[in-house]
Formats: sequence, C-alpha cells, structure tokens
Amino acid sequence: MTDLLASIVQGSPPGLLLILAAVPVALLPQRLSQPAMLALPVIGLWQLFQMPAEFSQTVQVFDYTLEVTRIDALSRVFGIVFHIAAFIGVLYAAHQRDPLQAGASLIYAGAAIAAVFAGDLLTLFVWWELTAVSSVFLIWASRNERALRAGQRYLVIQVLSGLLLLAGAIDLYAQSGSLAFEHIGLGSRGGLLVFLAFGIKACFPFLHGWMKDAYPEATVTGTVFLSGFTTKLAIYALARGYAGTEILIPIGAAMTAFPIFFAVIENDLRRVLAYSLNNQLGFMVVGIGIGTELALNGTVAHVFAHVIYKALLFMAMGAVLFRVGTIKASELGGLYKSMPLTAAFCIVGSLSISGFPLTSGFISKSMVLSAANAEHLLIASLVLLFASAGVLDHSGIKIPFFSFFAHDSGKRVEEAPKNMLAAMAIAAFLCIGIGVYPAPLYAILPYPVDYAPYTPTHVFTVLQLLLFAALGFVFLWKMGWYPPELRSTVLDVDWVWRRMLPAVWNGVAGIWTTAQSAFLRTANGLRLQLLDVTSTHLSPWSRLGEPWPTGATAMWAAALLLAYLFLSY
Amino acid sequence: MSDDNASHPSPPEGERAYWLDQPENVNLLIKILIVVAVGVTLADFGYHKHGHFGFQEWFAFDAVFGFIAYVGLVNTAKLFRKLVMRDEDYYEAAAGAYEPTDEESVDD
Repeated sequence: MTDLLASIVQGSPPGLLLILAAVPVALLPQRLSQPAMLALPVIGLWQLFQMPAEFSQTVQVFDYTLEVTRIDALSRVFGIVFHIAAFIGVLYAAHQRDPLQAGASLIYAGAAIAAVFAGDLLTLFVWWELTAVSSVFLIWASRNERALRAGQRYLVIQVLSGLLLLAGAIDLYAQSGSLAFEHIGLGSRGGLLVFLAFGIKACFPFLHGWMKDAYPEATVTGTVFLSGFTTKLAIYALARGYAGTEILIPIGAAMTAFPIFFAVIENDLRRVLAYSLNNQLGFMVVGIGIGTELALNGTVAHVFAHVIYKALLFMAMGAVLFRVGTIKASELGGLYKSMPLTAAFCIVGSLSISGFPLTSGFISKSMVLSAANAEHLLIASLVLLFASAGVLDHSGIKIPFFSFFAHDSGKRVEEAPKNMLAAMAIAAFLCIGIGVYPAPLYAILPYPVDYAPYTPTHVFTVLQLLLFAALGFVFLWKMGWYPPELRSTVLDVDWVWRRMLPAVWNGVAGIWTTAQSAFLRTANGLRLQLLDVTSTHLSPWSRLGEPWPTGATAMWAAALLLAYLFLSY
Repeated sequence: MSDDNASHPSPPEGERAYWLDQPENVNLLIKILIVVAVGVTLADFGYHKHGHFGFQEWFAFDAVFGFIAYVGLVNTAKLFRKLVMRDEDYYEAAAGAYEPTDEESVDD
C-alpha cells in the first residue's frame, strides 16, 4: 500500500495534482472547497519533498521521448516557491465563492509548477500555454468590459509567446534531433525564436506592455496569483536556456531602469506594482546574463524573495481596493486609521522590495549586485544602483504613503477580511524571516553559496543609498515638488497595439477603400465606353454587323488562301 | 502631510486624534530619519569599505548617489508626464468604483 502510494507520489509530475483536482474541488460546496483548496498546495509541496532531489521521468509518445518530470536544484527551488505562492494566494482568496476563479487559479498554479519541471521543450510548451489559457480567467473574472478587452489582448500575446516557443522547439529539433530543454543559446534560428518567446513572458523592454495592461484589470485576488507565476516561469526558462547570454545584461538593466519612470507618475497603484514587478524582473535578467554561480544564485534567491514580497504588496493593495472601491492614488490617503494591519503588512513588503537589511530583498538583491561588481560591469552596476533608489520611490514610498498616509482622504472603511490578513501575515513573516535567517534559502539555491550578505560594507552602503533616497522624498515633498497624483492614463508601449496599429490599419483600409472605389469608377467608365463602341460597330445595323453577300465572302476566302499559298513558299 | 487641499476631505467629526496627524510628530520622524541617515554615513569611518570600483570606497558615495538618483528620477518622471500623460478615459471609459461581485462577498 505504501509502495503504491509512493509510486503514485513519485510517478506524477509536481503540479499535476493541482491541475487535476482544480475543477472538482472548485465545484465542492464552499465549506468543503476552501479547506481542500488550501490543502492542495500543501500536499503538492509534500509530494515535491518526497521526491528525490535529482529525478527524471520520461514517457514515449510516438517517436519522441518526453521528459515530463525533471527535478534538479534549479527546478526544485522554483517548484517550492510556486507552492508557497499558491498557498498564500488561495488563503487570500478564501472569502470568495467564485468557482471560476478558484478553478482557474489552481490550474494556473499547477501549470506553472509543472512547467518548471518539464525536461523537454514540447512538455514545456503544453504547460506554457496552459498557464496562459487558465490565467486569463483571473482577468475576465472581474466581469466588466475593460477586463474583458484587457484579457483578450493578454491572451493573444501569451498565446503568441507559446507559438514562438513551439516554432523554436520544432526548429531546434530539426537541427539537433533533440527536444531536451537544456542550455539553448542564441546560436540558431530556433534558439532566437525560443528566446523571443521567453522574452515576451519575461517582459523584456517593448515586449512588456501586456503585463502593465492586464494585471491591474484582474480581480483583487487574481492579481496576487498573476504576480507570482507567469513572469517567474519565464525567468526560470531563461536561467535554464540562456544563462550567461551577455545580451541579457543590457536587456535586464534597461528593465530595471525604464519602468521606474512610469511607476513614479502612474496613478493606479496596482499598475505601479506591475511596473515595479517589471523592474524586479530586470535584476533577475541581469543575473542570468552574468551567468556566474553567484549571479544565478542571486537571481534564484531574488525570485524566491520577490514572489513573496510582491504577492504581499499586491495583497495589501488588493485589500484596499476591496474595502475602499478604488486603488487610484489620487483618491486614497489616511487609510492607516481604518486598515492599520494591512498598512503594517504593506510596509513590511515595501521594506523588503526596497532591500532594507533584515528583509528578504536585502539578502537576494545584494547577491545580484555583488555578482555585477565581481564581473566589473561598471554600467550595469550603476544602473542597478540607480534602479535600487527607484524601487524605494515607487514601491518603498509611493505605495504605502499614498494609500495609507499622505493627505487623509476622509475614507473610513473596515479592516481587510481575516483570511486576507492571515495571508499577508504569512508573507510578511517570510519576508522578515528570510532576511534575518537566510541560511535555509541559501541551502536550496542551485549552487553552493559562499556569500555573506551582512558585511559592514553591504549594510552601510545599502542603508546610505536608501535613507538618503528617502530624504530626497522628504525634501521634494516638503518643497511641494513631488509630482501630485493625478487621475490620468500613462501611455506605454501597449499604445502601439491599442492605438497606433488600429490607426494604421484604419488608414490602410481607408486608402484601400478609396483606391478600390476609384478603380471601380474608372473601370465602369471604360466598360461603358467599350459597350458603346461595340454596340455602335457590331450591332446588326452597323457596317460590320450587317449581312454580307455570299459572293463577297467567297472572294475574301479565296484571297486569303492565295495569300497563305504565297507565304508558305 | 501638513498642507490640506480641497480635493481631500477632512476626517469625520469627532474622530480621535491620531499621533501622526500632529505636524510636530511628523517633523520628529523626519528628524529621526536625518539623524539615522547621517549616522550610517558617518559609519564609513568605522570600517574598511570593500569596493570593486574605486569610487565605491569613497566616503558617503552611496548616500550622495542615492539622493541625486532619487531627486533626478522623480524630476525626470515629472517632465516625462508632458509626453505620456493623457486623460483617464483616453483608451476607454475610466473604471468606475469597484464593487465586490456576489462571488467576492465576504462572510467572515
């Protein structure tokens, strides 16, 4: 019996349980479904811990050998943090009675988990697309027009990413005869296609528009799930396939820098968090581009820390949206009076993402910065330092300050529901726990860790940077120079497909219609003229149309034959 | 913090006074921040800084960099608004007030 159980546990890919159980569990009565949903990530994590640290399982499909499960140090740590994120997300959503969101979020989490354990590109493609198709329901579940359209745009881009992955995988297979998902590199056409597929989901510059567009339109609880999985799956895939690919260093550096300008002026605080998410992905991408053991450890540690503090920040802003009815900074302020616990948890998340000592962000981000320094990457190091000061603005100050402090908006609401507070408390505990005692996290990183985060240099330089940046805020605010929060839309690259391409399309269509009607007019004129000519000359009463005498016809025929006779000599 | 503005209604009548509502308390927090910030900068004298680049070992490099980067970032973003800021309903009608759907109602 235990053998059978053990074989089932070891035989199925991690994540599959969540996917298969999602729909039945979501349809159970509320009283049963919530405990069952909370149990699923716990069982999944237990299953992962039961499996060997190095494990591979293949199945034969036609002529292809698919490695449906590949556990190694890199995939394992992603699997662990995805299970934690799923648990926190389910707890945060536990007040809801929405089978659609319940089912979609479990399938989504399960697909992301299964994807990081995919050992070949075809298996990866299947789970990659399932994350796209399942997650869009978390956007559509807002059940309004904006969300419907944002979800459609999101789905198109996500599926496109999957198709690029499939095309690249086929190309790589044609070249090498193998579908194995190992280091790919940019040396081939297939490698470039897969790189682009990963780049879309990882929010490379100019490919990032879908995320800031769609995530803030998802439901209060949906955004918490969305923030955890899709982009980090892409980071995993890049770390697996493109570690040490140098172009990732400037790409990642640009990702850390550009979004922070948008984050400063964006009014929707969940959209500010989406920009902040993009900025955080930049640190990870730089780490992958550097590709040393320290850099990759830093990237993975940063993923682990980031999934939790980012979920915490989205949970806090979700709770505000849930209670107040808006998440626009211009409408908020003074909420610490009615939501003190949410405010406190939010501040823990803000300190963590800013990388203050004794929080998870400090022990992970400093690894990436140290790796950039160690490789003597001057520009990248300075950009990352600049971006660290930028993080302090949008996530460290703007998010908690404009929602919970600033001008009192006069809004008085209830504190967040208990389940939301519990989820935030767990996340906040982990943020501080990892920061204070990073050893367990360092122990599960892909490479042996020989890194001490708490040196005087690290601690004091980080504190100087952050505290003087904070003084910069105080200075600007006191002088009245800090840009006020305004109800507005901030244009970004999604403008290209929401406005420019439709305009170009309409323009082209307009030119086409004009050209078409001009052509038809001319053609019709010619047709009438031709009709006129033919009806004049070929009508029964015209010169050519009237009956000719037989004699004349015979005469012409004889003349023609004679001419032919001459010509043939 | 201190200056009230018309678009932000004042708190309901008869509510208890909060510690942070007093401007002098806010100023106290700012003073504490300044003292701590200066303190961690002066700490540079107390240990040997390890930097991979020469400038990283300069006294107070990160403090100066942090302040300039922050103020520069915010002011650049402010200018950037002229280029990319549009009305709230630029793409479509702005989102109305969020109301929990039946599915999202709370029973705690």
